[in-house]
Amino acid sequence: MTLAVVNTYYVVKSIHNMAVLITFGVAFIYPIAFAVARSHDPRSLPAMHRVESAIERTLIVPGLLVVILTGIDITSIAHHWGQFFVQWGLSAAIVIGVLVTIVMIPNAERAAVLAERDLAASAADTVSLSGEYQALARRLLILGTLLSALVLVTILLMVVGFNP
Amino acid sequence: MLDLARGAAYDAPAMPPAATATPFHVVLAIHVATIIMTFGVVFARPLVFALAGKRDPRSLPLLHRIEYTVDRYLMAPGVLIVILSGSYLANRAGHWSDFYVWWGIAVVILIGAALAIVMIPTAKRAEAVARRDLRADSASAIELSGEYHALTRRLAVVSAVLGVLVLITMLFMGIERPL
Repeated sequence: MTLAVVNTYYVVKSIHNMAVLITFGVAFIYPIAFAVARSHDPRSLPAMHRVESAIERTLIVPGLLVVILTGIDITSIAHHWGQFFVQWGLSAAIVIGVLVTIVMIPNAERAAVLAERDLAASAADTVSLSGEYQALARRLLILGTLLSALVLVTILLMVVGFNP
Repeated sequence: MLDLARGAAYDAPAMPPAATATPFHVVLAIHVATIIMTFGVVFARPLVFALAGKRDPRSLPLLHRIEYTVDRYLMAPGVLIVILSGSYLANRAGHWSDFYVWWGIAVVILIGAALAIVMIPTAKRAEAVARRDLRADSASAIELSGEYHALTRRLAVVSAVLGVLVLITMLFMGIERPL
């Protein structure tokens, strides 16, 4: 392999890859985090949902913006607008951004409120979470898993598209 | 060679019209996906602990438990998959003599060692100390001990170093081996 040339394309592409890592990596810990919270300290569930919505608001949404902008830049530099993986990647990023903003963040905040209400109504030594909370938490988990799967499919398409 | 001038700098790989997924692609996709799943969490840690410390310090023991559970069940196996898939890719592509391959392997081994030797035991200890401090302050304002702050400082510093190493590695990989 010859020595690589560092130019605008590779610098922006590295920023794009780093933004993908920082933006999407955290979502994969949600299932573990909530499973541990439910089994070891259900009284921390409201705090967990607040952390979840804060991560989405302050890390994932701005990160998505960086991913989209750097993606557009490297696509323009390389004239790859006709490639399927570019169209897919852009669509996936927009879909994720919309769902995180419209569904994930409001539902995480609602789940925090519901969990707080249920915990306040529970006795000191037992925790009883309502069906409404359980349904909302399940919906958040399913949607989060679907979005993570979308990220993985997009990675596969990018890898195949970039390494023919 | 560094050429950041936009017009003259273009050196992007040319794209053929269509591509087919081969075993190499599948392993490369697994390698990239595992890197995101394994190392992405490192960058959320400061935000998570800053938020929890400010808004709800009583959740700190749970967060440390989540921290070492993620390290043990997500990051440690992830490190292994990254090394195995990376070795396969380097072998298939004949890139063993390239600097970025050795750098990548060294960084991943270093991260694995830091997880096993520093991160997991320190997070466990931080959980126990936070629980003790919170029990002692159960009714009044929450005051965490100097021991707890020292442990979380160590976790934050090691985590930040690992995060920087991951980003530098991605920069090398992005330059030497596009995608």
